[in-house]
Amino acid sequence: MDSTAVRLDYQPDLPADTHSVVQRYEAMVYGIALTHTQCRGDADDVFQDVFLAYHRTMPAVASEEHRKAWLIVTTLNCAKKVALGSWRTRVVPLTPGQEDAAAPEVFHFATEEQDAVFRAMSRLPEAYRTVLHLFYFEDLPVGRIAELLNLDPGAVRVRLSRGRQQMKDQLLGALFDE
Amino acid sequence: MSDQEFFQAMRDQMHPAPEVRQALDQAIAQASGTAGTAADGAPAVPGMPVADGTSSQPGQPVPAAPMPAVTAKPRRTARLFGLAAGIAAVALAAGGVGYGIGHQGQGETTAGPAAGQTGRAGGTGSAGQPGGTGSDTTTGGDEEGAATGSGVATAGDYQAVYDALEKAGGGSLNGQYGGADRGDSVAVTEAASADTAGVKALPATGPGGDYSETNVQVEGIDEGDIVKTDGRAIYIASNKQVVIVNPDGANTTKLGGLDTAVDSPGSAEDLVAGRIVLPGQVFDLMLVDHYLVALVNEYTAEASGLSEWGGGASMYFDSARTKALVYDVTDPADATYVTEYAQSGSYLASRLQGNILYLVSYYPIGSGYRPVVAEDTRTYVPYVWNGTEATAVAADAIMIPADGADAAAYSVATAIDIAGGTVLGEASVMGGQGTVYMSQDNLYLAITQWDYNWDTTAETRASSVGDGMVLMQGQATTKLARIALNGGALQVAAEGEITGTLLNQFALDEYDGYLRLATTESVAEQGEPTDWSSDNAITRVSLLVLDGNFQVVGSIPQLIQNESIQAVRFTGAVGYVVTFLRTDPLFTLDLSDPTAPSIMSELEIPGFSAYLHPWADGELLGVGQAGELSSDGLKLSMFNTSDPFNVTELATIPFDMYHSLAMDDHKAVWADVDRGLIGLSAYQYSEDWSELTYHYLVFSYADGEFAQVADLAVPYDSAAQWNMDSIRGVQIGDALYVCTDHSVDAYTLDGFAKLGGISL
Repeated sequence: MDSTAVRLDYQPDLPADTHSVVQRYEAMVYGIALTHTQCRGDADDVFQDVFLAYHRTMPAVASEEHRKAWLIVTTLNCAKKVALGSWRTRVVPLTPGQEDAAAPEVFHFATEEQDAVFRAMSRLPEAYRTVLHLFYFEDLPVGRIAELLNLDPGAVRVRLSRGRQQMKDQLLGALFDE
Repeated sequence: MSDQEFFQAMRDQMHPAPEVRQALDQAIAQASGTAGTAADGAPAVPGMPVADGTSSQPGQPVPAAPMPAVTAKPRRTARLFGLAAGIAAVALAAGGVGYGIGHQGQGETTAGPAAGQTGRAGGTGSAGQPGGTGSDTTTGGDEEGAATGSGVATAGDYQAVYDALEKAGGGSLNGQYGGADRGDSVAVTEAASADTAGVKALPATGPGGDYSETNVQVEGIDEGDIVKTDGRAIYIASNKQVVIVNPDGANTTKLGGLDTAVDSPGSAEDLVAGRIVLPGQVFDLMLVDHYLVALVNEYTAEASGLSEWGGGASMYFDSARTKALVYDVTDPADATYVTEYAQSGSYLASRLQGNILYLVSYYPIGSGYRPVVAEDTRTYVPYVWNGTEATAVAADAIMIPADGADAAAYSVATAIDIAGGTVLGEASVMGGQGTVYMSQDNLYLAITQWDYNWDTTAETRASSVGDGMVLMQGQATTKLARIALNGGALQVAAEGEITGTLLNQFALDEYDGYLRLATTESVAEQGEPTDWSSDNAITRVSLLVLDGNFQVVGSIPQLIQNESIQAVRFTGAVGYVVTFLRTDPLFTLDLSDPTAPSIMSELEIPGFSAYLHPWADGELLGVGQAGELSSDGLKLSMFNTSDPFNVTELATIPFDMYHSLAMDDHKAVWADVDRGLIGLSAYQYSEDWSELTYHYLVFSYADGEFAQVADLAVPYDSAAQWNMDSIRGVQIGDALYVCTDHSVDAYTLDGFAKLGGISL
């Protein structure tokens, strides 16, 4: 699946209003938020903060790819900040005995296998996780990932390969074979 | 199904709950100026009192995040779970049962400007900064990329404060819910009447000082922690309780507990106006003289905001107060509540110097239900409480950054003389939430800001190192503020800004009047494109030396590029920085001349250290990862730093664990140099990743060699909601106590035989 940078479709005329942008990129932003925070609530926060930021900033973009890049990087930054807050500073059970209701809500997928993959990804160091997410869930080529994360493509390949290895170790499956 | 399809199938499910999306749509509509639509007018919760004059929107689910009207600043929110219980609690309280402690109205406190002047000299100055050379510094022509820095501007009056907040808030301070006419603006709630019994006389001291203390950054400055000991008892924060344990080897017992929710129960008196005040958990403890101080949050929430969402029930708090509850532990078996202090905002950090407690909280404005109005300072000015007595932070103690605050919020710092029972001083810095670092003379705030305005036609920002490189678009800068301690009479003395980000509190260090920072920034050469797609961008680690006004006097522009900082430790004239991509360069820096810092040596070994601890003369301990992958396990390293130009790894010991809390939290490390012992907690997964086990490991270091001397099991139950970050090793006399928020196990210090243990 490795590839050099491939130019994706250039679509300068897609609507730039926030509602359309949310529609178009909801899953992308939320997905990144999910794999870079620890619970559903944090992901929700990131999701909302990113699109509100978009709405307030209306970044000047030259192309749809630029807009997409803006959203990806903003989401990564936002998730970093939100995830830094320990969950226990966020939860106030209304009465004692509600502590178990106060646990952060984990996102669940439809199948156990998907859950396992998600959990395995969550255990990766963030550097590898980001690259794996963008590669497998967003289908971005190595070159594009390198641009987004300010790395050289070699570094991206290294992280991809190590991340894959760790995932394989965890899952013992064929899913991450090269 | 192909791999591609597998991932696509997962991706297709990555959507937020519909109400989260709805709430976002609503927020966008409101931000665009169109009114939100109200559903039917029925109260959200049957039987709940409805606030006067409310135009709440029942039927609308509470969105997942209050919408601050600031530019793209993610902020923390808190969720209060337990709807059914919450309604019950509220209903009970309304019926007079439950909280019901006398609650004074706010009426006594003046709301006008200049309330609570403490008589300190206002204005600017570099108090406490003996070596600072201010803007006189000229060390050659390559300093033009200096950090901005100067004396500070404090607000002239509260109107100026309001205006600055509004500007920081993007023109409006009333976000999602505010702005609706809610009738009388409800008073900032007072603390419950406290039993202000006189301070007890100093007791005879306990059995001597042979016990371990919290592992802190700066010698002589204590930091609040979950577990504390005074040698006579171990105090452990566990949710809203403080458990007090008698550490007596095999006869270790639980002496008792303090329920902070009882001593500071909040109040439902505001129910009429639709507010609930709820006690929060204990974040940290501090021992001051013969007092134990419990640092907790207290939340105020809109009752009409109760709603059901996502299975649990969550309610976002309107505002929080940080409280310092003071208990007399002269006799740990009979600890008594004495008094309390409070300040606006959520708990951020605590420090102790001598007997003065320094407390920092973070107070955002305009993200809740309560409307913010310029005429009522109680809605936007930080307050400080001594018991029930509230005082507004004076306008001239509020620093507004020269180029405007990055967020409509404050960091609030207070200095409290616990034994004397007085608040010695308070100061506030307007802006976002930052990292706190305290030296012997100053309290520093470092606030990272991300720039979401990726307008590549905008002016570029020169890198603070002044070597001609410019910051990439959208990359972070860090605002700095320095509050002079002045023995408790806090005074904001300087502000500045540098390009890049700081790892944590260890990335700052004040020495001999200068502030050293290790930063990471993404830069490109002047003239090259600075947008995200630039091929010329590099991420680099730099070292900055700043004077008392945050002017750059010296720097090492680029220790290394395209790696990230893992650990920093400054020790006087020498600094150590660990970066990592493949191998662990441990940089040893010569900081003896602030204007000309330099690299003395670079040691490359596999893995990296995430925490550095000066051990003995010429020895530096590192805790970290053994190899490139976390699956390579962890290790301890002892570095020989006696010749800083030739630092070597003197000894190392790997241990087979996945991760150690010591890598994230310096307070989790027990380092006893005299005994040659190192303790830390760690966890490991089973082969098939299905099981997690927690351990407390003890290592010895003697004669240039490590040995693992104990692997103690720490109780863990994945179903229970235990805080596994609370694991601490506490040495008292000849025993080691492994403490968590749910257990204490005693071991002999010699041989680590288990003596006994208790559940809390």
